[in-house]
Amino acid sequence: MDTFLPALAQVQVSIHQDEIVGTLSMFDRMIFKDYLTGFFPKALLLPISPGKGSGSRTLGITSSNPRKR
Amino acid sequence: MKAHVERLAQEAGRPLTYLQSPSTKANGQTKEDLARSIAERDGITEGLVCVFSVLEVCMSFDVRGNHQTHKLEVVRRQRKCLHYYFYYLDAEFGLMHIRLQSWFPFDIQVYANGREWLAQQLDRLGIAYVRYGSSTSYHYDNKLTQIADLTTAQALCDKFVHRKWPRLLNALARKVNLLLSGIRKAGFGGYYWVFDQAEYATDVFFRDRATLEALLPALMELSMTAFSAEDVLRFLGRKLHGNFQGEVTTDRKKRPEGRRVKHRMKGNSLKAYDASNLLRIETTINPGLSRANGNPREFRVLRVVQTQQGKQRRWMPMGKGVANLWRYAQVGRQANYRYLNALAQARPTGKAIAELESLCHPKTAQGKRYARFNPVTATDCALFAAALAGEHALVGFRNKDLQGYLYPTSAPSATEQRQRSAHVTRLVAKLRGHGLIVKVKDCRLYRTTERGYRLMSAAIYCRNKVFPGSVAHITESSRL
Repeated sequence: MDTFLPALAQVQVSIHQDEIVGTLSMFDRMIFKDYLTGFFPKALLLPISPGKGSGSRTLGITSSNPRKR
Repeated sequence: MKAHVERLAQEAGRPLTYLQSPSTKANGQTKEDLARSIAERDGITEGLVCVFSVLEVCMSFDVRGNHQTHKLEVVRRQRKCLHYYFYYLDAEFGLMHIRLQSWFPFDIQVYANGREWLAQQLDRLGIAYVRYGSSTSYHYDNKLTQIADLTTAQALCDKFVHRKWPRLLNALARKVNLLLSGIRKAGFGGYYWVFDQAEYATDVFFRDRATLEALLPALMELSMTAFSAEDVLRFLGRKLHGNFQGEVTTDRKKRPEGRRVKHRMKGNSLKAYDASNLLRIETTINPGLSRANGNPREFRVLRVVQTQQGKQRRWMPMGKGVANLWRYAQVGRQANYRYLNALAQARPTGKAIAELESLCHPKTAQGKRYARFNPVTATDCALFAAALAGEHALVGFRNKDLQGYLYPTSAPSATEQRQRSAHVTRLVAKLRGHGLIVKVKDCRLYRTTERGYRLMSAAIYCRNKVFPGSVAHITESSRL
């Protein structure tokens, strides 16, 4: 699909060639986000369930009421 | 996590500041502006600039009692927690930031800018450039308005997409998330990196601001009035079909820096705006939005899939993963070029007008004589408009496609259908004879040539804008 793109890119430039110096194509803003791959299976939540003690606190799970923290 | 972040800032000797309210563009000063001013104030040239902590909404976990089972359960829900923004002046990426959620699952966002990256590479190679906003009162901007060697700059940009992104992003994550190894040991695996937003921009460098300003009104008018929803879909590589559920909108804004026109399609967008001597065409793909409001699955990527006949290459909906970064660039570039191509119809230059003269004379090529065109008549302009239609920018057009434009109603009889087909065949031959279109090898498809785009768009412009309507009417009558 890219084969005729260079020709396409030249169209705007050639029509206005007296006015245009050149073009530059590049990513501008890029925002990357992460997902934990082993996140969704419910069984994997067991190591951090409240019954297991210290794990929950270490990994940031606290009471449902933020004021009680 | 909080202690770790405090220690990171302390070891680097950089401030950790709690922001009472979100600092955004709407508030007047963004966190990026704030970080940049801190870097300038403290003379930071590389490394950690500062850390901001802000209370923001996140998706995390909570423990709730289940009334039916009488047991506590871990549920996922929206909560509020501290988020840390690490601003770095990176040797490769320039000013960038990492946003870390302080509660499990410690989501990370990495923000980088391609133009910032390019500026760093140009500095390294000693290629001169001018940055927009550096000599004006506008806020800092990453647009580069002049580059001494555009060919080298484009070659650098083409290499950018082939970086090993997961490795790079994992290294950044390890830098800020102390608990990453613990998370892996707990069985949650590593991070799977996806795009939250990707903007791909094509900058057209005009000689100066005055040259661009002379052309800008025509460009804006054309993009607001001439492009249909179908055209916008075509620019973005989509075809309008009966199952398309979504909205295509176009709006215009005027800002202190310039004007912009934005076309939206299901959360993804294509926009054109100006800044200094730059005309920027930008395609934005928003995987971060919900599936209904926009995601990269609107676009396609060639993948190897397992089928009943074994492994085969198929065009599949494009995912969010960073492995598709090359395809994001390809989709963005194609959309930008198609849009630029369509915008080329705006105000043809003197050269194009002079070339129109050649269409007004019969032409002989390879022993065959081709009749002249009359570029100001409605019939010839309708033919030109059909050949230039946005949907034909993708793969070209066939005889049948042109018939659809030239004959709005279906043929009442088989004889009429044959006559129409033969008429369009003659028109196609005429267009080919004048070098306005070429045939695609081994198939019945035609594509518009560079000369075709230039002359046919000039003819349409002359008829619609330059040629007065009353005179056009007289010409039509005299031809009949």
